[in-house]
Amino acid sequence: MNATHWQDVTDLDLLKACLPDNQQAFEALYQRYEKRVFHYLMTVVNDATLAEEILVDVMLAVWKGLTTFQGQSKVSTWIFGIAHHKAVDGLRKVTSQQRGGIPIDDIVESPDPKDGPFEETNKNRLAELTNQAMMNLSADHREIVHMAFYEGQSYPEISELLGIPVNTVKTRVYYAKQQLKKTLQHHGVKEDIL
Amino acid sequence: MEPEQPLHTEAMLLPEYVNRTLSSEEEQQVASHLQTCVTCQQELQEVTNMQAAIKHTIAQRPGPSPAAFSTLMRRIEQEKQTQGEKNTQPTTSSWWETVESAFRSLFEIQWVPALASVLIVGQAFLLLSLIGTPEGQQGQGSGTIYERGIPQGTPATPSLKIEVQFVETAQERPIRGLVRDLGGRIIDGPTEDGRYTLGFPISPGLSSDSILTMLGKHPELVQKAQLLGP
Repeated sequence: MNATHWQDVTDLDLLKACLPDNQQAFEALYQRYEKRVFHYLMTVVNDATLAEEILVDVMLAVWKGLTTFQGQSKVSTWIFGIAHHKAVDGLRKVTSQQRGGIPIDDIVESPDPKDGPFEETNKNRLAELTNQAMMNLSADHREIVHMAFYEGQSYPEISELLGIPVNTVKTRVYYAKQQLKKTLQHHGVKEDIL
Repeated sequence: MEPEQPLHTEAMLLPEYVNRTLSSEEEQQVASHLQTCVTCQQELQEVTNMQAAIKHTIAQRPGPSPAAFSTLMRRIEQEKQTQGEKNTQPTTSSWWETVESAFRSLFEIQWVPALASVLIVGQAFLLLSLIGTPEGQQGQGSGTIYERGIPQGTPATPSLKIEVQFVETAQERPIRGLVRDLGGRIIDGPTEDGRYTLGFPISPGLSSDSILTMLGKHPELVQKAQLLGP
């Protein structure tokens, strides 16, 4: 089976196809998740080198766990659960200074009034501000925003992979979103854009 | 600053509502609420816009480098090798293997020094025995006894001890011949002034006087001799 064929295979079937030692299938699984997991890790640890190191650790753990995966949760939940634990370990390694983030006022340029109203800001500018505002959140809030808004995972899935109650997921998502909104508004992003 | 509490519980479900991950019952509940709640309609719009901004933001990030996959595969190969080595080792053992292992451990490192000590003592005993062998089997010395010294032996039986000072120019070979002819051994010496202690086994036909007399008959070798006692 070539790489193209794996595209139509479900996560669970692809996982099963990796056994007993199918390197092609495992490579397809890696390709399916490398960007998603890497982006998630970037959101949490905010360091490309560290994120890449953790990505390798995560996929190695996935490879080791192929025979023990019970299928009780979705494959993506399982993999992101591993990524969460590895990311927490990775965060412990970095200094508190790195972990604390950078004050948003230090990294976001306020719009120059001569540039006109902020609605003229293009999507990339908004993306830049959004990224910086996200990085100013706590690691817990960055992580949950990523899961809920980017990955589009359900609260029960997030609850499972983070090991926290569903109600905590609800409130954490809500407060993280409110914090993002305030930060962006502070830097001139109008409510109708948000 | 403490974030504002949502006015309605439905507001907290709006991200899931946008993601379409709510149960049908919850989705129906939120949809009904949205028809009449302007605040939550605004909140829904914010969530939708924020999600679009976040998706656009994260999607712009580069992916991992190709080196990550190479590193991963290398580490997997290392894992396979480690697992292979573990699998070649027996995981269970019989009672006999356990007993054998326990006994074997008794003869490992801690017994080596003891065995070495026994061998060293054995070698020393062998060397001392050789000292007492006929001179023809010994190395032929050429220097004086003061230059080279004389190997010593230990008498195996109670003996008479006689201290002898040999002539300074006496050679080892004739000295050994004399001591052997008298039935004795050198058991100590030389002292700083060149005296030796000879041991002679006590026997009915051999007295200290007779030994001293015989020693005195070899002035070319013996300068002085005296009884030290049994």
